[in-house]
Amino acid sequence: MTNDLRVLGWLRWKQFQDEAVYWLRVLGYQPDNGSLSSRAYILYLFGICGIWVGAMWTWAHDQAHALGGLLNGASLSDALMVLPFIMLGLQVFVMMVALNSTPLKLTFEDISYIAGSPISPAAPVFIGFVRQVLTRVVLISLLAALITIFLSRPLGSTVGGGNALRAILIFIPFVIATWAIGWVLGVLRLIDVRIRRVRILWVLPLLLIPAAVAWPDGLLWPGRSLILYILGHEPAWLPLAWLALAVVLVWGMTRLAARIDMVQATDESILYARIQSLGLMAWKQIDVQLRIRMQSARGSRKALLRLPDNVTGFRALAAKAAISYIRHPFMLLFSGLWGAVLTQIAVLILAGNPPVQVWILWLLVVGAAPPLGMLYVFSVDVEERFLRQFLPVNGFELLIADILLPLIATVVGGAVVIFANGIQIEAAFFALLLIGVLSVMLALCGAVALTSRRVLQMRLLATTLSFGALIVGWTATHSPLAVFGIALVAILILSGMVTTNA
Amino acid sequence: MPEDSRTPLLSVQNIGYVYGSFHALTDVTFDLNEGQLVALVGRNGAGKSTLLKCIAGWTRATDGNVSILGQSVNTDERQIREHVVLVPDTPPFYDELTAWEHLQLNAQLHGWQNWEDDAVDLLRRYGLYPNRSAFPFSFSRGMRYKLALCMALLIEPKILLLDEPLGPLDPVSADDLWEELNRHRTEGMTILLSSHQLPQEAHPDQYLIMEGGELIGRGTPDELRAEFSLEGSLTLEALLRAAIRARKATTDDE
Repeated sequence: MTNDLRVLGWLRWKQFQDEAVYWLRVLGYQPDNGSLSSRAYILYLFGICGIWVGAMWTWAHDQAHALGGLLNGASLSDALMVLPFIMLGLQVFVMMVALNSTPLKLTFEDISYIAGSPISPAAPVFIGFVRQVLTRVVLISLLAALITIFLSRPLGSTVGGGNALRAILIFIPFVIATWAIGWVLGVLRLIDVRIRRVRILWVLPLLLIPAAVAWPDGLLWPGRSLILYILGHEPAWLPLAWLALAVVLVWGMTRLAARIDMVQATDESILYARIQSLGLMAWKQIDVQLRIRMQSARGSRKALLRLPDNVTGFRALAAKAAISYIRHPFMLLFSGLWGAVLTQIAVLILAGNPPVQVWILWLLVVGAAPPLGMLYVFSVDVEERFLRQFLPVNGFELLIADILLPLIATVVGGAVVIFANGIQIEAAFFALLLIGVLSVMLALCGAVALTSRRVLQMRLLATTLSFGALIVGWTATHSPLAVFGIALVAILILSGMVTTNA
Repeated sequence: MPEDSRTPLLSVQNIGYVYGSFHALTDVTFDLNEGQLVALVGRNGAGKSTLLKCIAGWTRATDGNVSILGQSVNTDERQIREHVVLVPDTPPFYDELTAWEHLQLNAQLHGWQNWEDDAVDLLRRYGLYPNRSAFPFSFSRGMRYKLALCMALLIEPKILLLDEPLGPLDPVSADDLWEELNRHRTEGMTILLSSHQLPQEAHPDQYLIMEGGELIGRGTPDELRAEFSLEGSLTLEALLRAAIRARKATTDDE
């Protein structure tokens, strides 16, 4: 076991180095050049990074301290009552994740070289646990320190520092113990096939929440003990007690892990491995990652709803697009969220009556973050030439059929924001009409870009020209009719381009 | 097979395709008539897939012209779309539609009635009927190719272009496919397929041999046997080697 840990630890360290070198290369470091200047450059990069982290921490600290000034005794008391529930929620979440799928995540390389090797499964489980917990410990402890600074303000402006230090001290073993409990459950599931057969097992930890309401002393003690320690009402050895608990749990998990079914862990890791194999693309093109997740979730299940039998032509195309969105609802959700966020920003800008530069900035945001979900089906239809050849319609008809449902979602998202802001009915009607028109324009800009070779440049050009014309028209005339007229012209021009090119 | 020299169904005239400075296709010319089954052969990178994409209108040739039933692919792409279907070597599908729904959508978009029997028949013939309710992303490569073929055959195009159809298929399925293609040929469909391998019993009407983006040989099996002085049964490997050798000799002479 010790030998296995040493070998695997060395492998992970090499992988970490490779990854670090990749990122350092992005920042201009040349790893092959072992000269003094390249080493100095690394020191320089770490120095800059350290200064940046320090500056960000100072800023976050000041913000938390300033925001804490808004708290009064009553709201602090309410927050302290809620915090143990939040900590229980974190514990429940970790347990659910570990019970839903193997906590030991293997990449394709791990599946080939580790899962199939004769080393004890306890070694990859232990190393995997350490890797996962390390980042969580750092992030959650720092977050806890910030929350402590925020909550300590009503107790006096000088107590925050000491409390934050105690928060970090107690949260480190707490996070390790929380994740260890989750991993113990996940490992037990990988050992015993009878546990795996209980399909709803992963939902069961949710029962702890109502149980905590009924019996708070029994289930909320971890959170309460942490808060009391942070506020200086518990003895100094409490972190050591938590640490001892964490060590026992990790030791137990490692002992149990020697008996896990590695084939099952491999099977359940395929989705993770597929996403990992995308590398940076998994985050640059989030729709690819979502598509893989959707495929994994849908693969063995029966299709939801079915294409209607009695529709033909354009209606069949619209039905296909609708069913695609219903079966892949994330994209519809994105459209709704996009409509809501952009409308909220526009409402805030309108309320502030700012200079035209702010509207130009808004335009840039719109151009840089177009409605991804709205063109999801259309992009497949036009980019996959094999599928496009079976669609006997022109590009504009195709676009309209494909964006109907997400367009409605976008308008609904915008409408929710408009009504939540209490805008008058006439203005709301105008705003909804504007959201619809702008969404169609943006969809057309995106569609024009998708049908050209230079996608990003074309999207920015089309968006800037069409929205720029709207801004110029509004600035010059202040007439809604003129704006709609310009929008109509832009829509006609863009439609013509989509009809021809798609 | 019926040879109608008056009106070629597909006419490829001097087409060329250039990627940057690389000439993927150079001066390719040939005609195909109704009901012909033609094998497009050549080594990797010979330009077979690019040629098929130019014919289907997926890629616009940088030189020359492709016309189908007298209409140019460059100017009348939409009109010719219903006459030509290209099945690439790795066909994509909709992630959200089942295998059956791919065929259903195809039929309903074209407004056909009573298509279900044809779809069931196709799926049964290609062994996909039991998987009709599954999503194609869960299929093997061979199954995906078969589904793509079912989609193409359901709409019965005048010209069917197949890129490496036999690669993903097992030997039994490859034989079955060849039989199917022969049947469609007798019904008047023109089929142009690129391949590195053909089943033993396969006898295309013509071979088009490509090398380095050029058409270096064209003819019926008998014509090519005579041209390259080949004896015995004509194998793809022997044909390709002979054509490349002959081409090299001509180039060296020049």
